[in-house]
This record gives sequence, structure tokens and C-alpha cells, in this order.
Amino acid sequence: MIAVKDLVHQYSTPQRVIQALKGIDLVIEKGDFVAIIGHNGSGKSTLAKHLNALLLPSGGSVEISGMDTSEKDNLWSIRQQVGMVFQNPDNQIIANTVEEDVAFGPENLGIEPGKIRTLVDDALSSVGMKTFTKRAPHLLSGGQKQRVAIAGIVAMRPNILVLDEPTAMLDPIGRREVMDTVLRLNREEGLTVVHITHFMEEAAYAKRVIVMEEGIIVLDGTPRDVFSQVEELQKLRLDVPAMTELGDILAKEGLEIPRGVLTVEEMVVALCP
Amino acid sequence: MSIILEDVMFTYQPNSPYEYKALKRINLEVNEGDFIGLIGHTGSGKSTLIQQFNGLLKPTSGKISVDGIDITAKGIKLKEIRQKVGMVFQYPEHQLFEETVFEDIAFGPKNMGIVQEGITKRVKKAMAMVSLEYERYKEQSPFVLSGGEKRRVAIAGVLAMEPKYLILDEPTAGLDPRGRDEILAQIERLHRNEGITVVLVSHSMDDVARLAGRLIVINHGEIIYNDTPRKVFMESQTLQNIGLDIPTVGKLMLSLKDKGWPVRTDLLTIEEAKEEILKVVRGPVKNA
Amino acid sequence: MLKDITIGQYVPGESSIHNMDPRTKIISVVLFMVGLFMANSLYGYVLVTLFTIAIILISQIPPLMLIKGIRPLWIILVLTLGLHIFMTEGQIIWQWGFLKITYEGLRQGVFMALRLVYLVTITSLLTLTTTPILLTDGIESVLKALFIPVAHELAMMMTIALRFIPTLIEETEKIMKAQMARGADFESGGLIARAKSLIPLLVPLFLSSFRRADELAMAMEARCYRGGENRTRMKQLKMYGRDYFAFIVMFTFVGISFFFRNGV
Repeated sequence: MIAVKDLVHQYSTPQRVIQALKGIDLVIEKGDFVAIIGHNGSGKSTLAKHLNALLLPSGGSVEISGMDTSEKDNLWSIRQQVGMVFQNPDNQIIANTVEEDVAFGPENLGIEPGKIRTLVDDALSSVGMKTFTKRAPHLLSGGQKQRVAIAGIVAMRPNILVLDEPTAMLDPIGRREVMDTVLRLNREEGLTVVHITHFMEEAAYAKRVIVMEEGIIVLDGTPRDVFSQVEELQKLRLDVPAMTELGDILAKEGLEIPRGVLTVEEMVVALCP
Repeated sequence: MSIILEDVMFTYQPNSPYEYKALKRINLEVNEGDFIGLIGHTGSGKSTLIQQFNGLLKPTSGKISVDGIDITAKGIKLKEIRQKVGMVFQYPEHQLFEETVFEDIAFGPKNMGIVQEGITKRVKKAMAMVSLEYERYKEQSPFVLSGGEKRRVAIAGVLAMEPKYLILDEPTAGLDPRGRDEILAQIERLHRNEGITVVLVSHSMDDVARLAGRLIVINHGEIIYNDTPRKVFMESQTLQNIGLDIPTVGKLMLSLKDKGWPVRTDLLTIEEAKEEILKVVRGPVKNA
Repeated sequence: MLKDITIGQYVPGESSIHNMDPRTKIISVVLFMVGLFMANSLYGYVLVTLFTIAIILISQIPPLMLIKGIRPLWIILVLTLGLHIFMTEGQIIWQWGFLKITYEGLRQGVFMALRLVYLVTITSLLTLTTTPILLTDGIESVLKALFIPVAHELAMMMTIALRFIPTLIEETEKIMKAQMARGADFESGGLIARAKSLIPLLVPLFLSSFRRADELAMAMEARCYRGGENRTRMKQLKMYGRDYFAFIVMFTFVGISFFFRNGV
């Protein structure tokens, strides 16, 4: 479980002090799938980095399963529990073969060699990359690289997976691969997922969507609740899934469309009951 | 005037074990005033194709001409071609290198041999085209700007060469929704107001459906469709087979048709979908 | 010329040298050097020559490849040879004006040149028969055994460097093309013009390398990296019979070489 209490993050540039997070209160339950959306500079990446103590609070607190991130002694168990995947697939693969890279995390944890082998094999199977074990990372597609990065986290047996725009640099096929993998890990292996994205279609898959703007949480709810607030989102100049937008327009024309339709399937059901 | 590709083939590392045929017999015409969407999955040959347009890659065989000049001929001055055919690569902000925004945008015109006054004029104009305020940004370092601003500086760097044709390789990749909207709106303006011919490489079917007048679909180094978006997106099955999608609105219309609704399936935008649905719901032919 | 240098390349193979433990190979190279530097007699050099040829044959590396690797050294070889031949005092066998060749000089020059050639050949063989990953692991483990404090850091640096070489080559090409599309010219002009034309390539390349380094460090930290302490490895290096045999051969070689020292 993640408990964020009145979290403030500030840093100073030579000119001024900048508050990237201005009092975030957030509780994420075990097994949840939370999507965070918002513009660049809204503070979502900063928040993500607080979740595994890559950044420490300037005010307020972050607790992971009861462990305060500002306690030095908790650092390594927090980082083991909260795995992080970043945006650029090229800049998070360390080793020269897929298996060596996935082994990197467990090796850092000092797990014994025989057990690492099992962890690596299991992790690669769970992201569907088993057949690429000996491959050099630069020969993989973007989606495959990100799946290797996810495997590298999964091999550390975390409880929480934080993904900071993992699909931003991928093509649609790669995005699909990553989304499928993450959804499966959440549903089948019970991993808690915090997924930061600019793609609303991805957020629609989450159980809960959080919208951030200028360092605070402005909307928080199920995808249906959040995306049904079409005008509010458009004011923030965020996208709305195409079907949600169409549903909103049709509802204004007097059609009986429930608020917050997210997918084509839901729209078809709404139009022909 | 146009860019014409005749029987263009391109092979990487020919006659080696790594030989790879990236383009196979491409015949294609980009006419002045076109807005072309170029789509195809990663590795389909899109990037290789666009690099033929300004001679960054020379075809293994075949002929390419830009405004009647054969650019595959020996001794051709490629600088002039590259001025005519502007190219914005993926993540163009990674090519910024000068100390100020002004200097970086001026790099292209300087290489073209233009002198001081001309350069200032061009930089001002290019910055206006991407909505960067000249006085505010000219002295700034490009490296302190936000991601979206950096990308606009990089695009201005290409626009300052006053190209007739502008090729953009996924100009919205990695941007947030606001950044994406701004860049696309600017490209649309460049086409509409400045009369620049645009070739837009994109992964977003919704974007090309909305913007492009003609779509070119490439797969395994061959052009498989070259037609209006409306006609191309009718081929939803083939597109899906080669790893591409159709616009969301098209998907909805197909599903509704399956349910027996008398709707057109060649619609591209939300506005069109709304009209069509309202027509069915309100009209006399409402579904039984 | 850069691509002719064979040190650092790997040629896949199944020879017994390929299959040796990297630590064995690294220590053997050191022992070979000891033997080589001890040799100062004709017999000594005959022994080293035969031994080098034998190793090349066993490794199944095409000799042509090794010769290609030595070619960039020719200037140094000619210099070594020349300096020794003309500068050594002794029994004169040829003289023209102030230039004279002595028997001792000729002998010393040839020995020195051979020494250099063998040194490069054997070092090349090490990298040609060992994958970069294994080589790194081997170096780390040998350095650790010698209680050299930064062993792990050095090995990690090598691993990362190797991992990023293809990425950076790709990136260089990309930036070059982007600047060429803006009319940059990397090919014509004099030396100064050419050096200047590299700025639009090098600045973005440096910046992106720093960005990559930054992000990589963050990703490593997020995966609990804290240096070599308490770190385990999935793959353990293991010595087999052939490794022990190799050590016996190497020590015998050094022994004989010592025996021939100061002989004929």
C-alpha cells in the first residue's frame, strides 16, 4: 500500500524556488491499477520518483507498506518493493544481453546465483520475452526493450510497479505490447500498478485515473468518472478518448448516452441497447 | 512542380550477408500543395523512403527528381535540394547545438550562403510560423526551453531554409497532449497559409485521417495504398493485417453497421460520426 | 584504419582457447609477456615464435586477421628497427658515411620488433577469442583477486561502454543526417573547416550522452544498485581441466624461456 500525505517537493534553480508538488494526498491500495495523466511539468514524474525514494519529500511524507521513504534504513527495501520503469527504453538497459540485464536487479540484492537464474527465467516468461534470452538489447524493438525493462523489475519480486511514461517513445504495436504486459501483471500476479501516460486510451484501462496539474491532483476517480468531465479535461487541454468526446456531443444533441463512455464497444451498446 | 520517384529500390549493405531490401520498386509523386500522410509500421521502410526525397540516401536503382532536377545524377548539388526539401527528423530537438535560439535557427540559412539581413528576416519568419515570440526567445539558450518549445525551435531551423516541401517524421512523438495539438495545428497552418507541401509520417490514424488529403501506406518496402484517407481506411482488414489500425470513428461505424445500422463506414472525424448517427437516429430509417 | 584494429573485436568459435575461462586467458597473457620479455637469445626467440604460432593455430583465428591487426603498427616497427640498427655500437658489418649497421644493432632491432609483434598478436588473440561480457567478468575477478579496490567499478564501466557503443553509433548517424538536411557539410573543405563542421555533430552527441548517463544512473539506482558490495552474479566463472592444463603449459613456457636467457 502507498500512503502519500501532504507531499511537497521543491527545488531551487539559480533564479527561484520551484514547487513541483504542492501538497499531494493519495492512498493507493494493494492490487490497484492507477493511471496518472497530466501535462509535462504537472508533477507526475516527480510524484513517481517519490514512490521509490529516488526523490525525498521537502514536506509531508510518503509511506510504502508502512515504511517511511525518508528513513535511510528503509531505502533498499523500498526500492526492492517499488520497481520503476522509465520512458526511454535505451537508457535503462545496462547489460549486453537480455538475461544479464534482467539479472542486474537480483544481483544487486545479493541473491544467490542459482536462485537468480530462476527469477530471471520466470520474469522473462511473464513478459513474453523468453525466446530472446541471449539477444543483444540494441537488436530489439522499442516494445521489446520496454518488456525487458519490466522483466528486470519483475525479477526483483516487487509489490508495486511504477511506470513513468513507458509507452511515450513507442509505436502503436510496442504500446500494445507494453500495455498487455502491464495489465496481465496486474490481473494475474496482483502487482499494484501506477502508470503515467499521455495516452488517454491507456488510462481508460486503469481502475482509477488521477489527473494532475501544476503540482496538485485536480481529478481523481474511475476512468468513467474522470473522462465524463469532458469540459473540465478540455479546459486543461488534455485529450479525451474519442468515444467519450462523441458520447458527450451526442448527449448534448439529446441522445440518451450514459456519461463517460470509453470504448467503441461501450458506444455500440449505448446506441443499440 | 513535384517530387517524382520512379522504380526506386534501396538495399542496405548490398552483396553482404546482411543485405536487406528496404524499398522495392517505389513509384510515387508528391505534388505541390499536397498534404500526404505516410503510414506503415516500424521497419516498413518509411524512414528509408523519406530520406530518398532529399538525397540523404541514394537509391540503389531508380530515379528521383525534385522539380524536374534529377537528384540521382552524378555531380548534383544536394545542398540546393535539401533547401527545397526540408526534413524534420524524429525528436528533432536532439540536433540543437547553438548557444542561442537565433543562432540555431540560422544554421540552415547560413549553410545556404545567405547573408546577415536575409538571415534575420528568415529566422523571424520561421519563429513566427511555429509561434515562438522573436524578442523573447532569440537570445535564450535552446537547452533551457521546455520539450515542446525545443521541438518548435528545431522545426523553425528547418523552416528558415524556406523549403517548398516539408517532410516530418513523427513530429509529435513523446509530447504531451497540449504539445501534440500545438505542433499539429502549426503544421496545418503551414500547409494552408504558407502553401508548403507536407509529407507527415505518423503512427496516429486519427491524426492523419483529420489532416491528410492523401494517404500512402507502405509495407515491407512497397506502397500498398496511395489514395484519399476515406478510401484507404475502408480497407480495415488489410490495414489490420499489416499491423496498422483505422481511426476510432471508423471502428465505431463498422460495429454499428454490423448491428444493422444503415451507416456509412468511410467516416473519419467525430463531427462526421455525430452527423451520421443523428441522421440514423432522427431520420425515418431508424433501426428497427 | 580504425576498423583494422583487431584488439577489441570478437570472432565466435569453438576452439579450446575460445572455451577457456577468461581468467585463465588473462593470466596466461601476463605469463606470456613475462616469457617474452625474458627472451634475449636466439633460442629464446625461436621458442617464443614457435609457441606463438602454436597458439594461433589452436585458436583457429585466421592468421590474416592477426596480420591486419599488426599493420597499423608499421610506423612504430620501422622506428624500433631503425633506431636499434643504426644506433647500437658494436661489430660493424656495413658502413656508409656516418651511417653504420652493427651486428648487435641488427640483432637487437629484430628482437625488439618481434617482441612488439608477438605482444600485439597475443593480446589481440585474447579479445578475439573472448566475448566482451566474459572478458569484463574475467578482468573484474582477476583485479579482485589482486585486491585492487575499484575492480567492480572498472568492470561495470566496461560493461556499460560496450552496451552503449551501438546506440551511440546509431545516434551519431542520426544527428549527422539531421544536420546534413540543414545543409551541413562534413566532407569538403580544409582541415580547419572540417574540424569546425564537427561542432554541430559533437555538441548534440555530448549532450545526449550526458542525458543518457543521467537517466541510466537513475535507472540503476532504482534497481537497487549500490556498487559492488554484497553484489552477487548470476553467472559464476568456473575453471575446468583445460584451464589447469593451460597453466601448466604457460609455466613451462616461462621456465624454458628463463633457461634460455643469456644463451646463444
